[in-house]
Amino acid sequence: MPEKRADSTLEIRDLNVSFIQGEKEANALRGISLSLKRSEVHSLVGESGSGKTVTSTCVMGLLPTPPARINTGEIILGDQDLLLLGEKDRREIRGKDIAMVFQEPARYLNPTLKVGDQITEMLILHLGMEKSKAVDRALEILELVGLKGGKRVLDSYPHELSGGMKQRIMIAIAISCNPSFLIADEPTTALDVTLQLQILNLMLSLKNTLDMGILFISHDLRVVHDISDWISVIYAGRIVESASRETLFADPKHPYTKLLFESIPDADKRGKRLQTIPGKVPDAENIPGGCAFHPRCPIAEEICRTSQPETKDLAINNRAESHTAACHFIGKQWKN
Amino acid sequence: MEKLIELKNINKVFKSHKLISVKKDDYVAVDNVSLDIKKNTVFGLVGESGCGKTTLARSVMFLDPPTSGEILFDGKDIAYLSGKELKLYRSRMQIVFQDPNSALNPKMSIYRCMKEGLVNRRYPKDKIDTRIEELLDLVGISSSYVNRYPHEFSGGQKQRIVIARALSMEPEFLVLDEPVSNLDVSIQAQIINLLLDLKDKFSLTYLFISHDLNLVSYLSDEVAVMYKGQVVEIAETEEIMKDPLHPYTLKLFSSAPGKNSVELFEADESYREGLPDGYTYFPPESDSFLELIDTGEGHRIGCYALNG
Repeated sequence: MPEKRADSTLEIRDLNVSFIQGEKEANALRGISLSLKRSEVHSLVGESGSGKTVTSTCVMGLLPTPPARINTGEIILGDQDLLLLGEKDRREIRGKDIAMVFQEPARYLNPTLKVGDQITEMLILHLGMEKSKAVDRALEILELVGLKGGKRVLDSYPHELSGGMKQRIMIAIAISCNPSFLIADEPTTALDVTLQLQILNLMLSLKNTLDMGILFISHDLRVVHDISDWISVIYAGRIVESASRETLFADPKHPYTKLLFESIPDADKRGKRLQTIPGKVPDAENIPGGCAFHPRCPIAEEICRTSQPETKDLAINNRAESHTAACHFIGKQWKN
Repeated sequence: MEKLIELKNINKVFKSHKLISVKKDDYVAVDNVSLDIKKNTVFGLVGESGCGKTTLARSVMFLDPPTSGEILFDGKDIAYLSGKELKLYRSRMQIVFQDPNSALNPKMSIYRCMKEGLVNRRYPKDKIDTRIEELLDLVGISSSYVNRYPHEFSGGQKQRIVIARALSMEPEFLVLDEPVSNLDVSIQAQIINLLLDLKDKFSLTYLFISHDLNLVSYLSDEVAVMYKGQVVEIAETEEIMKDPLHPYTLKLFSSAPGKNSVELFEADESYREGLPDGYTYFPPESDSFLELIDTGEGHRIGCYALNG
């Protein structure tokens, strides 16, 4: 095992990203702050178009600029700001210190290369291993991600593997250099429930054995509930609420979070109408002024239309844990 | 309660298209499925991808006629209908697909796409426009949008339009093939509420196909679990949620997300308890079909280990 580095936090501060297309400017991220700790699963939940994937690709340094433009923000790993680094230094970090698992493994594996070569490529490039040593290490990694069959799997092409196996290969590639942080962008959305559970279990056990921090991106609140230590809810490019899993599920404060929870169908709600959120997620080109959620919010008042709410920390003094929400009327009740 | 749909021993076999085939490799997608769907209820069909849910739905709709078996719609076997009669029956049953993008023709405005079906049904010409407005209003799409094209709508709106189009045939039976799995959580709830409202308003019967167990258990009156083309367990929703019997059902239910992470580690293997090692639900020579056995109150299972 390679030696561990000291960077135990990944901090995203006030990240603001827009996409420029001709005259139009789409403000995809409007001040995202997240703080990840080693050996914690931090989930980013939101609907499509809310900026989840932009956040993850920006952290990985994979955002094409242009059309994207990073207006403000810092991404701090250990003690260096990744956004200030040049492309060459970013390449050193990408895959080695921060690795990524994508939603559709079939699209991100190279169909013309054996999966063994795709795993050893990382080891040779980042850790300077010799080919034969890299193969031995790749076999160890396969075992770690629960793929039996060793050499035979290394010698197969992606199309010869099932969806679940491909996702395991993606994870194997991601963890090959023993990264401090793993970004998982909807890693189980394309999988069946039974496979999903296996992959979630695998990620949790790898997190413990390798002592990684995971940024888990998902739209599925139930999956997030199962896997997370900490949850941040994103809406229209802003974090609207952030708290530990227990706190967030027991006591959501932002109306968007509350409504999201209530709109999930399950057996207990049989015969009752589901709570809905009227309207849809605004697209990044015309985000409503003030609080972006106000057109869909049941408790919106005049102030919500004009001024953007500050993110407030609701933690009571004697509790160490923070619970932040961005709303003018935190905790206000409403009738359906 | 009266039955609207009765399926008896439905089989769907896809023949291999090789000219010279060395071995017989026909693929049995649906294997001897029998089930009844009662009027004005929601029948949920769950299973993993590739287990034959959609093939069964297409067979029921007679889009891909089954290889063998009987489909009784309101007591009448639709396999023996002439083309003309079948067309009439077709309008009584409609299907809503998973992906509204591929279900709507991108070159047709919403007006044309809604009109097509009505014209085919010989709906009085002078009433078509008002009817289209009425239908769109029903699903919550403003009638000022009729001249827009599909790409101008969001995913949820498109799915509403597909539902409106299905309703234009005044069906009694709707097959809903994963109608919300492409949609966001907040939009999902809107569509589900809409479907439930429409069911009550027009006393519709639904065959609801999904891989989302939480959704199916919220929505359905009865649930059938499919595995490798066979129905392995059927029961009323409350019954199957409380007391799932087939090991595959147990596995599926224990895999559904939404528990807490402490259980997560154990849930994976719990369904195997008390089963022989290397157990695969079916005997290795899996062409032997298992009769479903009634365990009381309509809860039926077909299981190699439990029945045998």
